[in-house]
Amino acid sequence: MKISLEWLKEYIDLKGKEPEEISSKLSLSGTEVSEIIYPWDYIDNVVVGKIIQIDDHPDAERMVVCKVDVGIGIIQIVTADTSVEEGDVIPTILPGGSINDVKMKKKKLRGVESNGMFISLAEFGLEDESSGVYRYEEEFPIGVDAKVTLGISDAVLDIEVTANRGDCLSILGISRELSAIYDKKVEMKIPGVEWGKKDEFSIKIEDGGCYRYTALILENVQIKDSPIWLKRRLIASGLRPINNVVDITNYVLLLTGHPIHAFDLSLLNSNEIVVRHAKKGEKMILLDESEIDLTEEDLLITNGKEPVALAGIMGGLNSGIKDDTRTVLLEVACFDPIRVRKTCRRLGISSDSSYRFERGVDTANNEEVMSLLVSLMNELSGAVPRSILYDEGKPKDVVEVHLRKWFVDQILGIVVPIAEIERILKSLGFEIKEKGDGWDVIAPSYRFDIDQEIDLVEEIGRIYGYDKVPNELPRILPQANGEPKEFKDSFKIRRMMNAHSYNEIVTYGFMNPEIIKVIQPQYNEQISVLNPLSNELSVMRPSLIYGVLDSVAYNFKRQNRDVKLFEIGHTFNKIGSRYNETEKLCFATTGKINEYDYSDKRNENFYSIKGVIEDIFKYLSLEPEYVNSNKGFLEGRSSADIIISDEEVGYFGLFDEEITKDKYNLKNCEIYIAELNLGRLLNKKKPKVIKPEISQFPRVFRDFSLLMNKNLTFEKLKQEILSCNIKELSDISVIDIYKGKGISEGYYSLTIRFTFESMKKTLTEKAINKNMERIQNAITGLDVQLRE
Amino acid sequence: MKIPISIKDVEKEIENISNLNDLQLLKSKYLGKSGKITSLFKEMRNLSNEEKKEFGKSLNVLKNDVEELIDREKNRIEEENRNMKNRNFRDDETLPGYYTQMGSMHLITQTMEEIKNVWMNMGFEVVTGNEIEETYYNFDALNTPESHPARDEHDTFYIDEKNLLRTHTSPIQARVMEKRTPPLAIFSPGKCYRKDTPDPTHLPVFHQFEVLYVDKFVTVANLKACLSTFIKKILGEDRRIRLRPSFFPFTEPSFEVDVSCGICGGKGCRSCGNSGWLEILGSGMVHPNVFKSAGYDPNVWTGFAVGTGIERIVMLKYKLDDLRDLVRNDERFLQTFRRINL
Ligand SMILES: [Zn+2]
Repeated sequence: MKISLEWLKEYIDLKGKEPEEISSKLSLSGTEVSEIIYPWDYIDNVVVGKIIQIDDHPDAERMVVCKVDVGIGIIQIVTADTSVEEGDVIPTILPGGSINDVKMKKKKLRGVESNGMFISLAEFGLEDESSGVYRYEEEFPIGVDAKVTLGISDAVLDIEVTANRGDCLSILGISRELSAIYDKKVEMKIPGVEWGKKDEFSIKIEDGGCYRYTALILENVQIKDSPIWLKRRLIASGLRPINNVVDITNYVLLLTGHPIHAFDLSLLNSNEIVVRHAKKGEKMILLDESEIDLTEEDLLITNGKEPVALAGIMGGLNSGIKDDTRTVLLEVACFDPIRVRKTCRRLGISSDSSYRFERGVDTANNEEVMSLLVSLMNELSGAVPRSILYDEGKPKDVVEVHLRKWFVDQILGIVVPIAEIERILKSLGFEIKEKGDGWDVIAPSYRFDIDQEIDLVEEIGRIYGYDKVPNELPRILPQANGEPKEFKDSFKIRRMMNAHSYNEIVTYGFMNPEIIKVIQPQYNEQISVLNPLSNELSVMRPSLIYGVLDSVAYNFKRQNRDVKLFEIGHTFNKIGSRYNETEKLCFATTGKINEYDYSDKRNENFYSIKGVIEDIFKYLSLEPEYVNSNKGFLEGRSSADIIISDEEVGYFGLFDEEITKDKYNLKNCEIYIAELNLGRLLNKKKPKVIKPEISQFPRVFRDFSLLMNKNLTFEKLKQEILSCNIKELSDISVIDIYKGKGISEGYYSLTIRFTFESMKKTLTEKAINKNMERIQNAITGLDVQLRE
Repeated sequence: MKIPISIKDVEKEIENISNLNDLQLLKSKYLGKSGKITSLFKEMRNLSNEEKKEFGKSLNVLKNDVEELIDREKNRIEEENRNMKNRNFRDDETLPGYYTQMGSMHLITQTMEEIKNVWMNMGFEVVTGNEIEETYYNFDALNTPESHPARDEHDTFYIDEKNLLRTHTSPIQARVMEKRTPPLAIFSPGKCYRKDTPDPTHLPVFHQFEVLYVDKFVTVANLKACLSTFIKKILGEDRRIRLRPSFFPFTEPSFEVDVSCGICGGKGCRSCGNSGWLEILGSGMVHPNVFKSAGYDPNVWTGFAVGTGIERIVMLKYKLDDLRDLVRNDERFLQTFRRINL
């Protein structure tokens, strides 16, 4: 909301206070000033000038040459407004000044020097069209800032009012705040006016959503332009002047925060107002010519038959003020904030009026507001009240709260002097009465945010100043739980992924459903967002692979051919009607295994990604099984599912190359990807057994080359060997694999290293040979031969 | 009898030797089984006892000198060979080495971890929750009934009539309060969602942490001290804070917390809009209605709550100007913030 300081100064003394200081004081007491604006700063260096001599232009009939006294000297201006006369006093832009970024330079108009420019009201925005330059009617010293003479030099504060402080949405509201801050009185006189005599109309409230409805009929209205002082205040507040009656309703709205509606009585076609909720299927056309469908929640102002306004939000098309309006019905009403808010939300509309009603409007000031209206209507349009004042409904009950002195000190952590508490509350409009350990406090009618003691503590704190509160560390007893194990563990997994050269990414929790159809077509428990930003971000991710693949593609398309990324985050699925969230780890890689070792030419492959997974499982002390995967989006020949006690806890492998090419538009890009159900795994994680069984005696290695049938797995071979229960055999590891030349069809060569060690003695050649013999015997049943 | 060989002769010969082979030959020439010096020892038996004694003594001195000379030369050649070998191996010491590069943790994770540690050191425990949350815990339990205008400002994504994507991590606190009795000191981090179109300062998905402390006699002074400690640990000891009264439905009084600008130190510059201050988080004293929803007696329990977006802190700490960089996941960006001291 824009607050004009020029206007504010009419009600509160701000002498000697710079806008910056006022802003900072307001901000630190809870009314944030987001910007200090000068609405007329597009005109610069304009002063009051007086024409002291006029000569004809030697070459142009439609121009005259003026000598103008601008205080600091005489300048010459050529003007096209030939109606000017000697002695006219006119706002004049000096040489070096500017308007709309056009600088005033010495120039020649048809050969005659012109060093400045006269300004019209239209150029100040104070008139739609000006017939000529503006001539002052009042006396002003020559050479003073013309913006000061027009009341448009002051700053305007752009204020952000929090949702609970509807009472600050007005000049009066901000004056009240400044009154408490600076300890100065708000000077606001309500003019004494007399209502009319005629009882010619009736008001009926049929719905409790209307708290109070005050109305008055005025006659002899003359619609015309508003005076400059009114226009400049509307413009400074961000509104466009329309005509005197509409401008007055806006003016009083901005001044008091109370929305007002004006009907042309002759267009109302009845002599009653009935406030009711809409009927099912009812429609109406608003001021902005839009037709809306109404529901029974909507509150309407009707003429007894049909709607004439959407209560508190917007007037109807047919009953508003026209250029020939002569009789006006003024409405000062109060509506239920929730009802107004619901209708606005449903229809997606908002107005200056609804904005205030949604945040609460004073229900006790209707008569004062009407008085202000009548006095302005009379002054600016000649209107006089004809009817008596109609006033249905009643103000809301006042709120009374008991405030304990010690409670204030206890919450703020500082002793606030009693006199300060009393001064602050009084200056904010609270009525206080000493009682017991504190005060009984009655909140002013415009404060809707006060309903308990703590609200008063806040009032005292914000005006007293939180800078006066010291820093005092509390003594918090350390909590037993500290950090949940899963939280700590998932951080450690991140570290492990870093050690394997993977970079962590973060992606959105929602995604495009279309790509799920391609990658997991069988997946049909999608959780959709009812009101997504776009279809691309409309379903909750069932898996992290989507975000990770997108990021791999993003990097690959930027010529980054060696990518390693991982993400840890929640995935979503539905179990019955319940939403389930699982923490997962997903990682993907493409390109070289080791980008930073140029002696290592290997590319990522099934075993390089499996190695990372095995390292993680080693850390978790878990021993999963790896079985061939038939996931549609993985290449069957190089993918595997990870199983722990019959439960799938993850998978990995080469991502479908067709999808990579067609859906992600990546050519020559092999993506290896893995996803682990981290939540499950961290639950399964066993406590690590530390077993310092390291033999003091030398280990003995035996390397063995075997010709293996392709259908025989390493795991099977290992199991057969382990079944011999050789105590000294401490490890079986693979040291080489060879396929190709010299190896018969259907076979491959596998070199295995057996490690023997004993805790008790140095193993003899003989003992080892005996063990090797047992191993050979154990595998004779398998299709495998010893290779020399 | 005079010794026909002098050490000088051997020295001369050694000067021409440059490899171990030749040195070995020289060694056998003098000291081998039929070497010159060995032969002289053999000739000794023809001498008289008197002569034998003197001759033997001189011959021993010569033998030792020659051995020492050859040893020294051997060491020299070996050393030279070693150097030669090394030089051959690294013919260009400016070529890059081979290494495995460590990956990076995301800036959000790094910052969250740092923040978490600061609060944990002050005695807070970590509690997490789900991203799909019941509307009740996200709003109603936090003194934000449906009629509350603040509910609009959150621009919530809804899943169905009863569930939404949490707009803050406060529902975690509401759930903890429902289950446990005070005192409580909890820190709740997590992903949150608000319906904002992505731009340099907004993302529809962001990360938050919130802190809740409930105990007897908690004061604004306690809140200020914890906030100040937190800011100094995260952004630097020279930073100051100020509380600006604001409004959140679940706290009263509520504050926006500003931190002094790190660029101008509070004097005012372009990056802080000349105010000297930057908005960094929201906080306040827990509203009695929130305690009532949780079944705590507001006459007994008091507390404070603190919360903010991690992205905002990341932006301040690392002087980023576009939040979207955080979700583009360009490896070059990710690797820029690689740190290993977490
Ligand atoms: Zn600054």
